[in-house]
Amino acid sequence: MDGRSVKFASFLRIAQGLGSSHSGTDHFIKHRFSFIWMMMLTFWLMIWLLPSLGAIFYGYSSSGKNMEDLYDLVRAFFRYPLNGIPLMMWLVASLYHGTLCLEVMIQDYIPHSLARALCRTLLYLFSQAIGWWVVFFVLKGLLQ
Amino acid sequence: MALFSSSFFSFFKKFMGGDKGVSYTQKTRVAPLSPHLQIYRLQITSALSILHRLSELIIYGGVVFFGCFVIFGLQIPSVFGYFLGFIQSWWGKAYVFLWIIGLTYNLLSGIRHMFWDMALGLSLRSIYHTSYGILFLTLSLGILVFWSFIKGWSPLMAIAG
Repeated sequence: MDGRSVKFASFLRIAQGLGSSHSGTDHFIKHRFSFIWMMMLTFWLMIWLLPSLGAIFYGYSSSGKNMEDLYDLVRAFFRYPLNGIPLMMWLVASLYHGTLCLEVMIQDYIPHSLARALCRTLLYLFSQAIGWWVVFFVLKGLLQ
Repeated sequence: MALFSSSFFSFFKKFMGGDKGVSYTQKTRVAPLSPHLQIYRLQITSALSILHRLSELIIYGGVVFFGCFVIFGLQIPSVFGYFLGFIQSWWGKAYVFLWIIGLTYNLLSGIRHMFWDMALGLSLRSIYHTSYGILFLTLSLGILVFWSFIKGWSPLMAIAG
């Protein structure tokens, strides 16, 4: 049992080594928790964010507004905390959940240990870079 | 074209764990690849499992696209123009449709997984029923969400006035 799994294990499990899964339970629990987090925000995305963006991208642009007006409108839309903060949370949750899913795919389809380690490292670095930049720019927009 | 020479491909295949140039003893140590498409007939259960993985790839691509829109599109007006042009084009709409279908399918399939984790709906009969139900709901809900995106309308907007 690696150190990361211990966090989710009870004292009885640690002391007696009970349970059929000796490692990997942390990945399962992270996957399920991030799915619940993403699921709630996906409902918000479907009933609020996507229709709102559609109204701006298709509705306003066909009403004769130029690109600068649309740019200002979208920026103002995401500066509003009730739009910006859930968007940031949804993107972070999706990136986290997606990284966990792709990690399993890498383990399943890339048998060579060196290539697998390289792909996993690149995936983590890429997801973290996108995630942190999203958090930075959304917060910057909200604080302006 | 050294890039496409056979030595490049053999190196790549070897690097990715392919069997070219690997001895029998080494080959036995290589981890088997799932889902073993060569030896199992495709059924609704395996087809939906493969679709679940495909949908994860599509969603991740869309999330990275959305993230790049926030990072670059909302900061640089000229880049925003490129994003706008893509979203308004027919292939942009096609990608958004595919992404919404993938997201809806992943959402519904993920909810079913949560029930399976609680040992609910594990009989073969209920697995088949929920599989067809998920396919039907994915298409109907996905088309509805895509329609609300294109039309810029949602029930929340109607309630808010």
